[in-house]
Amino acid sequence: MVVIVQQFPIPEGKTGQQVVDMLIKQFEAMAFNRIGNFVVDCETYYSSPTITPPRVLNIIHNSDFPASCFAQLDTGTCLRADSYFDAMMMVLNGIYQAKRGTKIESKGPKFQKGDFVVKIGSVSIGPSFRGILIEIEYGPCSVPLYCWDLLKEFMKSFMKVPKEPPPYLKAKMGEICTPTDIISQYNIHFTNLRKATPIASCPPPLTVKGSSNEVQNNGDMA
Amino acid sequence: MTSNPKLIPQQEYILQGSINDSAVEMLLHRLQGLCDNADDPTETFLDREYIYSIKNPSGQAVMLRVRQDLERKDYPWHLRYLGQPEIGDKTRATLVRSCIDVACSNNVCKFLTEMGFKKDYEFYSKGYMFKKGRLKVIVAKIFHVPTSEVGQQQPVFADSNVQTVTQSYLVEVSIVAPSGSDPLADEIKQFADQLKPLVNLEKIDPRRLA
Amino acid sequence: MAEMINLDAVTEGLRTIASLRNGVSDLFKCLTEGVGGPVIDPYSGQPKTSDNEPTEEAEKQFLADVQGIVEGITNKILVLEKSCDLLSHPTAQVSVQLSLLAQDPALERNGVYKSVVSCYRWCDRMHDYVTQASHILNQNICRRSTIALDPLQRILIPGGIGRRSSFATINTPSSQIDAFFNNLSRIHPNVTLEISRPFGAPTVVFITLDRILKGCLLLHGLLIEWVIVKGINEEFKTADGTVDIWSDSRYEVFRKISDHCNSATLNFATPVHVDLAVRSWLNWFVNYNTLFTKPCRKCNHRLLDASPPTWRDFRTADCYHEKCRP
Repeated sequence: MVVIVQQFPIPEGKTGQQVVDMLIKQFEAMAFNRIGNFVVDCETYYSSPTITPPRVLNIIHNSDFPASCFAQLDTGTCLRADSYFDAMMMVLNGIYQAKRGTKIESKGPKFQKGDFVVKIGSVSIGPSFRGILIEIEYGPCSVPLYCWDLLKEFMKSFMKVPKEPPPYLKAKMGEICTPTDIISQYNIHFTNLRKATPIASCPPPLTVKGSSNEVQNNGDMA
Repeated sequence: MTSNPKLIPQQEYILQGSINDSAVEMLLHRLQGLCDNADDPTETFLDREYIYSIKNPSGQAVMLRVRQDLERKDYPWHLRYLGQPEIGDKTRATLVRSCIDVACSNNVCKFLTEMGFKKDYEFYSKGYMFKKGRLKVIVAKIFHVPTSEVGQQQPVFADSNVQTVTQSYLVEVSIVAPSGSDPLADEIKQFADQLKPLVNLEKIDPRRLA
Repeated sequence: MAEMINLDAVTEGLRTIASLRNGVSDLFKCLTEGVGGPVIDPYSGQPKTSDNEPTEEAEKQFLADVQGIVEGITNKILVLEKSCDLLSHPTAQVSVQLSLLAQDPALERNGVYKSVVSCYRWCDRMHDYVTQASHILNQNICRRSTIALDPLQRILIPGGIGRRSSFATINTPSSQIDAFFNNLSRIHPNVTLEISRPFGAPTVVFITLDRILKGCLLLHGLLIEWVIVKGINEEFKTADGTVDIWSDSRYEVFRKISDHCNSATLNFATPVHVDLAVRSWLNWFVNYNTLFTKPCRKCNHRLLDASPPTWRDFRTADCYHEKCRP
């Protein structure tokens, strides 16, 4: 599968929720099938001062890979592990420590049209809304180079299309796309959105039922 | 531990022992008869195991083990944490230690090094594996590749460049189960007794060996 | 010692499952018969002659029937859940059951000897039958293949026997097929062909086209009998290593292409030059290497109904959406 994650601009004078609603309406009008919800969450761990050089570790879960846990260091190395890795992080408690209130997540509805899957993710840190990420997945093709034009044509139907592939993807155009590449793209966007100022006057995004609640609880416990 | 129901703490119940090279054949026959799938050829394995450690702020070392299957290269790598072994009193038949098993991608060594872990040592283990229900029996020989070879990118495991550590095989009988399944310890003991004249399996505390 | 299993609950549960199955099959039976009972008379096997519309009363009766059955099913599910609750939690029963390990294998007690003797006798008798049968069958050989030269065929193919394809029969030796595909893969450098024979004689060829798609050909001799196309990230082998040539691709695009490929086998098939058919089929098939990149020749778009152009013309190899085909 080839996956591209793009930030969806929020026009001035509109709230995030309004843009999401507008997108949902548009997709429904284009005969996209709604196939459920998704959530990608990311928790950031910082190394203790005894570790040199200091490192930042992002632990990311994606509801589309429910049995997996992804761990990406700030060096770019991304480990794909099964979900027991969460327990491993508890063993390392003290060496790598999560900072409170840094858990960021993108969640929202998932649509399907033919072999394309589109996800509208409202990104938030706790109650503060940060932006909208659109994930477009094309399953049949595995190499971004082959289907970039195809993806562009598809995206054109509902959003502004970038002229060039995003830098992360551009470096990997000729390689076979893996789940790690999806996670890395989210991680880049999350890092940018963390720095961005929270968008004021926005109601928090609708809570998604199901698995996301469970993940939410996890965050509170940590 | 957490609200995530998948993360039930697991514990390993284990007995260990060793057997001389000359007698291992007999033990293998005995095990093949006792264990499941007696008709199938014995399952063999060749693993490379790396031990990584990191110091936490209070100065204690946390150790993680990485196992790579050299026979089935497409298998995921295996990351393992083992807690401090509890010997317990005489009524408990086996050693108990908490354990976390994680299957992961093949860049785990690079990942751990970048996290700040140091590689302590590594070894190869080659041998046979048997199953009896949930019980796992391992008869394996430990090898190590001389340091001159370690500089190489991927030292080859060949008869010419490996050194045996001892003249005997390591024998382990273990079960990984949710914590609190203590009756299992007695079952392991019962199984170990079946191997009695050949090999004596005991609770071995590695801290006392040092 | 393992905990005692609540046997009453198990029997009760099994009984409920049986009656639950019964209830569900009743429901389906009722639904297939539809309003006003079966359309075909169950006794005579003839369609019912009366073709008047089902009355309102019959509809009400039907609804009441369905409702009754569904209620019954719900009740049985509740009973089943109750008996499940009575069973103890599975984690409590982690046990290796080693108690039989030390049992003395006293031969007289377990009656193995008796069954061994009867098994031996059975085998012996079967052996006799087989020898007899093979003797009889050998006396009446019936040839079904065209190994014997057919005079008509010699007329049809000018040039006579020399030109006759060596692949014309279904009994082509496997070594010949292997050599044929080895040749083919030399012609198409972006295609990898992997030959296996998991079912005995029929050859299965796995085709990997660049990093675009994978195909699986089932051959009878050299006759293409079945084609399945899947994505590069999908497998033809199941988890236990057996070859699965029937299940479809996860993706719409490849399901469509599988259909096109099967119709192409019919288009290219010739009864005599079987090898030529496979060769031209593959020549046509490699055109799918532009599946995601080439726009449709007619509408000049890549996507139509969220699908790339899946059709390749048999002669010109131009690409079209299915709906744009000339």
